[in-house]
Amino acid sequence: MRSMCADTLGSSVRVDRDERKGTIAWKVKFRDGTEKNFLSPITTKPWGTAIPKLADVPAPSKEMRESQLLYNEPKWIRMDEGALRTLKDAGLALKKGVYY
Amino acid sequence: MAYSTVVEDGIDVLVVGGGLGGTGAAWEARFWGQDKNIVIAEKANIDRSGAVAQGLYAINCYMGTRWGENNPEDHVRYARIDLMGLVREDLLFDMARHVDSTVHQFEEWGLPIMKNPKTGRYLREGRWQIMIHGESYKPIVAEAAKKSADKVFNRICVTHLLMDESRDNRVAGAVGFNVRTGNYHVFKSKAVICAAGGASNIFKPRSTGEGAGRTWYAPWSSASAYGLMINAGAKMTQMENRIVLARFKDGYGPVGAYFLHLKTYTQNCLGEEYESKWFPALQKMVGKEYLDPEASHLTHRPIPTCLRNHCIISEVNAGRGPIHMVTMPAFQDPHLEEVGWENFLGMTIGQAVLWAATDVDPKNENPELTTSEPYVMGSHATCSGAWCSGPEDVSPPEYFWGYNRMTTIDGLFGAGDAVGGTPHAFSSGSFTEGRLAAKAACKYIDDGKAEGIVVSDEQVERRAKEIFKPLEHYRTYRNAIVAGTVNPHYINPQQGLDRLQKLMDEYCGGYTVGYMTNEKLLNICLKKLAIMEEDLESVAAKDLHELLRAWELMHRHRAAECVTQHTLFRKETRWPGYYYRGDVMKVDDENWHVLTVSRRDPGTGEYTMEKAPCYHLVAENE
Repeated sequence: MRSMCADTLGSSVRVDRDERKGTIAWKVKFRDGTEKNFLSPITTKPWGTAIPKLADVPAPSKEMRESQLLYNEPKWIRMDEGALRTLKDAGLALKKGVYY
Repeated sequence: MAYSTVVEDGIDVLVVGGGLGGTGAAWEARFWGQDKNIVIAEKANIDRSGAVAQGLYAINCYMGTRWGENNPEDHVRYARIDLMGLVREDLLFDMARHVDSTVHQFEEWGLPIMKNPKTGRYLREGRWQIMIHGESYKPIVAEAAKKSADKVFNRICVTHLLMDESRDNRVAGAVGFNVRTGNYHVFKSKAVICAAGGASNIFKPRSTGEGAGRTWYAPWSSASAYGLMINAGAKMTQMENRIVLARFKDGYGPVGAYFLHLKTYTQNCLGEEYESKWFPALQKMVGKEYLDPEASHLTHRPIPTCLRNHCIISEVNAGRGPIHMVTMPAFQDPHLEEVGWENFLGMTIGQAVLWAATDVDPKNENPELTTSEPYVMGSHATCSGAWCSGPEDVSPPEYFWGYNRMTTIDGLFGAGDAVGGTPHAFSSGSFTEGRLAAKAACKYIDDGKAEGIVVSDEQVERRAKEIFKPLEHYRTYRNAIVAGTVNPHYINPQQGLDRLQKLMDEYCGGYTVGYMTNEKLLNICLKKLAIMEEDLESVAAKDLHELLRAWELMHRHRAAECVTQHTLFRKETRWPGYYYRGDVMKVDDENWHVLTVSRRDPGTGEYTMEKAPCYHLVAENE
């Protein structure tokens, strides 16, 4: 848990960030006494548990090294079996000159 | 010297700067180099460093191809029109075709992405933007980088790149110092990914005195991406393409969610719509190809951001300021009010602090907007940075030299602000560029391109002497102070920064002169920058904090010089609203539909300027 505040001559913004609960709370106090409270999530998973170690995943094949793909691709681009977009797929070419 | 030297030898991939670009690079490098030695050197602490340190409430670059929302080429066309035609479309297409896989990973790691309850898709703020609860965006991404890196060196201010002495124009690592202990750090590396920050605070800021430090971009973005690479002799592109932001006054609170999601709008002090009346004259300056309000209305083609700035600047100059954001109707809805506040609290908390301190409640009054001082950077909506190679399956010959995102220095790669020509990458695109650079850097090493690197003790010792000189200078002359901080033998870093900001503001198109400059002013600017360079030999630092400020100043000065050279070279006003060349107040497609490329000779300090062709994505049969 981490609490912080910024107090400025009668007004303040206080922050309470809690990695265990996965939330952050803010209390805004205006100079004239008006108060507003807000609460947001900071994560959807237990802190730091959902990230794989890439040293432990299967190493990329030679074919993948020679392709334009990055880790987890192409699957994670569209979350289906679709491939990485190419200029040919788009029916486009790169041409020199003034085009708008 | 009292400080010790720490040598980290045998690094394969050194990542300089652990913001979104650097964390993406470190994360991905582990996949392509599972046995490689991957090291991050970061000026702050990667848990809260870079532009996303405070959090971010939107991801501004997401295609949504999984739902058929956009294709990568749509994003290229959008960036093209927003930047008045001049971008690196190969690099943009490449970033856009990968960026969704990055965002999907962020969600998997726990980043809360808001959903549209009706469709179940990510909640769109605009065509390219999705809304997130992102106060902890950076710590989440930093966790990923820490899982991949062998070592993370926090609190290291990297001052110089090391160069190979066996072969010209090949990088060999970097050096810097620990801002807490003062130790000298030497990183010898086969490849370097420069993911350091762009330039805040090279132009005089609007917020000074008690407001000092309030800036639009991160105040710690000290132009190191540019200072490091220019000094090493890398080619740079589009450095004149600085950005000016229309933001909530004095706190720089972002307006994206307000315009796009809350549907707020702007008006002048009389409560009038003002934008459209400036369009006819503006159209004469830039041509119908770049400003066609009717076509924009029909096709939803965006009006370039700089042109919308121009309308605000013109309206205020006509005496009808301030410009207000009309928030009161939207903020009567408690849900929208919550969205509006959380948007600031989770990314620009200073705006919330300022409104609370000055009793500005957007529910009860319409807050002021204003245009900021200029910034030079390459990851938000402008594209200053290094001239880099693109991917081999997309790039034409002039844009390709072997390795994706490699600069014109062998083994030196870029990501985020460091890469020129790729605007509208934002956080997700910068992380993606880091990933692309990391794969290419691993390939560069595996291809044997980094064999036989030699770094002599002489180079290492010479840099150490240079780095700590401001401390020495202070110790030698400290007793000659005549009053306060005034000393005939030196300037301190703050005095130097004040001078740099004043001269860039007055001669290179800052806010106090209405963003106006011309050839005569730019030549005076260069003369004053040259004199300043002499004085930088006499910067004094009384402690390690001032030594950090001294090196940030040197990076800013070098970047400012390059910006001025580029602004002088481009003889047109390409981006009215970002800056004006008063001597050539028109867009000139006949002569300047090109990318500007510079190189500073590290030996002589001379700049060579050239025009590089602009390639566009067009239909194969067009």
